Amino acid sequence: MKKFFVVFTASALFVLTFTRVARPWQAQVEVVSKIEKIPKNFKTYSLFLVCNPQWLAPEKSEGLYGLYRQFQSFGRTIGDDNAAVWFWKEKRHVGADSSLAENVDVERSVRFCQAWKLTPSEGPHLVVTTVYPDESSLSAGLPKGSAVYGLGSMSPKDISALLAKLTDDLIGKGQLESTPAAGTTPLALWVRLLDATQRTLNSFGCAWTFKLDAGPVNADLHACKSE
Amino acid sequence: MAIRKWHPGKLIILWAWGGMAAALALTGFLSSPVKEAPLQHLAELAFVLLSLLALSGVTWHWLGGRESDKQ
Repeated sequence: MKKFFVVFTASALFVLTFTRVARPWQAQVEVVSKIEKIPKNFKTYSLFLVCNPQWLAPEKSEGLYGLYRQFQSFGRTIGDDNAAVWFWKEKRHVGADSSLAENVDVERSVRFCQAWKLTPSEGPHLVVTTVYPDESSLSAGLPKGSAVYGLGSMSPKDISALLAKLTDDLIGKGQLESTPAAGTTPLALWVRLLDATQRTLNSFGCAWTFKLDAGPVNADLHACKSE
Repeated sequence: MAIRKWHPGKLIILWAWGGMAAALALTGFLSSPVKEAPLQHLAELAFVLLSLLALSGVTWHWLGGRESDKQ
């Protein structure tokens, strides 16, 4: 009986140790090949879907590589209970060259984009869901409570800020505090008018410049600082 | 409001204080997104417009007929 207890304890310790070691790399999931499935038993799944053909062009290689690096950092910081998923065709060295785009499993991403009705031109997309993204039942549509972010028009800085915010939500609260869909409730007409007035006044305020050219003294004053 | 005798200095004081208050309210209106506090922004814009209108009205009223007094 004592021997059984020792064996049982050792086994339990082994399983626990293995679990603690194995989870960190699982949080950042790089699914390679078409047959490899997305691992289960995570609280949330953050899928990076590249469906936008523009991002596969050679001139976008650097941008795509930047996105992949941000995915890596995101996957490492969201904890063991949350998975960040990236689809590859095969396992190979990742660099900022045209081979990166060739190795991204676009076809697999496209299946998600089609089933979840994501507009490719707004991509790459980041979809965060608490429901396991089962590829055999994609036709059921986007799971309820999922958050979809179109990263196509965002700068690397904006993407970085978004991922930081998502990391805060996933680590701190274990879920997304505010999905992008929740923030798109239509505004009242008077609020939109007020908003338009503010934008007009702001743009008017930026329209003037003051130049002073008095021999040795030159001054060029702008109302708004242009980036 | 009966205005018996206005000195130009009074108008300058009124415009100085009123203009500054309007400028502060306009800065408040422009400095943050409307969506964050729509009612506050509405109040700020209304204050800017009404204060400038009131100042213009007072000035208009005082200036009306001043030329004829001199003549």
